Amino acid sequence: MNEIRQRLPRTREKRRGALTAYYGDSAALADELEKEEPRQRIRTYSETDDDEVTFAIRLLGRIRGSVTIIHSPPGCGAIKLEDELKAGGSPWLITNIEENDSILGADDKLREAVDLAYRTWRPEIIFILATPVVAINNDDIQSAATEKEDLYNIPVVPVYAAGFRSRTAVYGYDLVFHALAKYVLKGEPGAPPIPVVNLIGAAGTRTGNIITDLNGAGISYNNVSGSFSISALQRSLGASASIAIDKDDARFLLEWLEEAHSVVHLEEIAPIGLAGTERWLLAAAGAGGSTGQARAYIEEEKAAAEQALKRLRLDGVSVIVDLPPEQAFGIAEFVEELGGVVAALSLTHADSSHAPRLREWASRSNPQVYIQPGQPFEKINALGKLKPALYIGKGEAAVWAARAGITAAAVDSVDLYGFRGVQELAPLLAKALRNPSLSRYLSAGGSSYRAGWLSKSANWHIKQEVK
Amino acid sequence: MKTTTVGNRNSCMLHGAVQTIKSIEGAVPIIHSTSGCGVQQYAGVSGLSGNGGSGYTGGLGIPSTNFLERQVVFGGSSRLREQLKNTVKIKDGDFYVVLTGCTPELVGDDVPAMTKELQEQQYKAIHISTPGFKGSVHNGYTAALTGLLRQFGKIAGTDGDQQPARKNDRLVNLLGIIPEQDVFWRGNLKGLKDSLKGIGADANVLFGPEADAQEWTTIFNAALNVSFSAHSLEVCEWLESNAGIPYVHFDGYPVGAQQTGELLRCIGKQLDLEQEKVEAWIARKENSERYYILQFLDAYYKYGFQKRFALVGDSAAVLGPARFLTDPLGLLPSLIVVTDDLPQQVRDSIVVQWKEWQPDTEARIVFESDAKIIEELLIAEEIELLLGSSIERRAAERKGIPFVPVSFPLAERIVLTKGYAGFDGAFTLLEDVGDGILSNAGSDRDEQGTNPQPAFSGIGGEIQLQENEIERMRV
Repeated sequence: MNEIRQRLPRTREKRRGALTAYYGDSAALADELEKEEPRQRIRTYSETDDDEVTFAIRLLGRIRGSVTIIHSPPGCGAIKLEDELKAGGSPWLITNIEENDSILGADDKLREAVDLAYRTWRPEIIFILATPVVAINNDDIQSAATEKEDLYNIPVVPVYAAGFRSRTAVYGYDLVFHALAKYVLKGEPGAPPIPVVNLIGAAGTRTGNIITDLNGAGISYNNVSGSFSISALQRSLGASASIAIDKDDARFLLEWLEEAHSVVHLEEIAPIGLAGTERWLLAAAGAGGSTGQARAYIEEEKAAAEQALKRLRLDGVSVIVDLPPEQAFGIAEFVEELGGVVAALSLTHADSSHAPRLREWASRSNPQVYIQPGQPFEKINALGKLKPALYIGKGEAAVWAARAGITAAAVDSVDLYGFRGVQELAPLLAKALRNPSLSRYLSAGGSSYRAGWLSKSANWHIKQEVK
Repeated sequence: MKTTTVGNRNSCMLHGAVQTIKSIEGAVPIIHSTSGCGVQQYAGVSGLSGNGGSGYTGGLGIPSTNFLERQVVFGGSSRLREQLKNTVKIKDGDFYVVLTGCTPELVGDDVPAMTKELQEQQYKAIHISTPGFKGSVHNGYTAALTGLLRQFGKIAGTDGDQQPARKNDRLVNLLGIIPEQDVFWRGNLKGLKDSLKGIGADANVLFGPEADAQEWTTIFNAALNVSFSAHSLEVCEWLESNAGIPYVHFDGYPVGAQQTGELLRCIGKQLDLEQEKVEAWIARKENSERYYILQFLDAYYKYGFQKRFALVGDSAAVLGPARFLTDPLGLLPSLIVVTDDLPQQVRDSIVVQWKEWQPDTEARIVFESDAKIIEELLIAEEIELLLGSSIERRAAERKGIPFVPVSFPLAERIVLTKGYAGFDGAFTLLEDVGDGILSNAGSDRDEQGTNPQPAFSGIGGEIQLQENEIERMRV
């Protein structure tokens, strides 16, 4: 992976032709993503959405023993405040760049911030997160990091987020993993391999249920998910294989481990639903060396889950799943396991790595695929035309589906993964369908979108990019 | 130069402007910045303001140009033009407000020209410069309001043809309650509006569900502006010099009969209202307050409510509650930490007025926003009750004392209509403080009487404040 020498990893658009706007069916999208250069599209009207800065901030907050210095004006720390108060997380400072700093630079301020971080917490590692203003005024973060690293003898790692380089917010994870790979993770020559499989997750990944399954199946793992340590990351270099809970989030790390340290990554889809969990656990067991125990465990858990699901069927219910790709594919498959019909998949982005899954869906029911990170205006328009019986997504988007009169279930409150995830997710969907009063009530309240827009096609503002 | 802080609860100018504009019925904010700016405001301000949500046009539904690298290199004006043209076709609103973030301000986009193009197409639209590096959420509130007033003709559709406003002798504009940064803003505005009704005055609260549809059309008809925050002084001064509307200023909103009575007497005098009617209304509410305090008195003594307390939050949100808890309730203020950035003369004025009101007070007023320094101050203080934001909860847990979440950020409560301002707001405050004290009455403590939880952001051991940090704590 030559780009490890570069200051930044390539964007998902450049590495894998990631698309952030698309309307069509699954087969057509698979065709396009299998080409070398998919046609990029842009929106001529857009609504706010996560960016690489917000994702990088969230992932940095999961690294134990670290302090993050957000080198930015004051508002760029807002998401960190939310993350810390609602999800816990590592300590942070913000340099509060002001107007004069934005013109003259704020290198001195940054150096003082590193001193303050070290003096206050004595961390194992300090991250310096750049932001849009810093990307434009070009503060010399690298020299400040090198100087302080020499002084304190701990890694001081720059993460060059700009907020405008990529349309895929998940690129923020790539930036963090790239920085760790470039500056921190070093292989020890001659170190013996460790007979474990790396369990890799990113910022939003819940890990409780899947760890229960790994333990139950007798699979040895090195936990690099949830809240993880630098030492766990360091150990990952010697593992026999890596498996991600959500491989889309962790793609950069998975590929780097394989290319730079020969730690193969298992291309299993997320462990969601019965079949998905079974496949995922068997793959992990194959690398972790306990297939027999895993099979016995899986049979037992599957039988228990199938029994519990009998009264939670979605027979014939049409569903739209609106989530990041790995979660969307996993939940869509689970919807079919429950007897539901996947009318559409709405994804935050899709790239060449998703082509096989899209091809698979094309050969099954060939559902519509919308790519719309955020963008409630497109969701409401599409939902109005598709009229599914159930919407499954995250809370911030479910509110818009409910306002459009569609029964909505938000997955934020449940741990989706593993056999216990099955038993959390199915009741959530059943409850939403059992009492759809709220969406009925909300749909009578009018919309902030004009009727003229809702009568147009949902991809009206998506255009081919002119190079 | 604003210094580095541990945490930041005051967000930025763009966020303050976004939440101000989206709290006006019929207004559509349009963010001209990178895509994450709107999400940061949504998750990191709205979401921490008592778990506020998208509402009618907020959340992920805020139009945003979502600046990309090509706009940084080539300029984002044409992208903005395209966004504006399409926003008016998609988002239903009475008027549109373009708010610029850091990136287009650094790039130098000609935003006024793009907004003017929309105006020329007969849409009501204005532009306000609100880069995050120019200040906090409070500055954003000020910038949004002054921007709206300066360009009022453009959103009222009377540009170039403004008639002198006919004064309504009983109408006041209430300013300084910042939507979302004041977690209880809706309840506070309602409490103040209700309190004013009793003396025959009408109030333009301007934001949220309590604002009648015609309020923004009568803002220039008001006879008086009432400011509850230093951050609304600039707005009041502008209205005084440009619309001839005088103003009165208070350091924070009033809580309870005593403070609200003072406010109403002042407003009654300014509006030349019938004094007997004003006094009769105040007396009636004082009786009501006495009734409830008598109802609460048994618990007050049984559970030892007369505690030494500390209070942390925005100046507008802490001074009124601190005064009410001190007088009439008899609690003992020990430390008041004001977290918004205020000019030195305003800080001095707050301290002087507090001392004039309570000449024998032992309470210290500290102006500080750094979460770490605040936590160390609280740990060192001999207090038995702590009121503050979710950030301060950890200090209360470390000390094993009751905690009442009352200021931004507030992550663990849902707040919709609750408010502490005005006559009836005092009862809500009493209920919340009471809940905090009662729920702590049986909590576990270790043998030292403390509950050793980690401090803010995982800080473990005792850290000595550095000289330069102590200097920042001006009293």
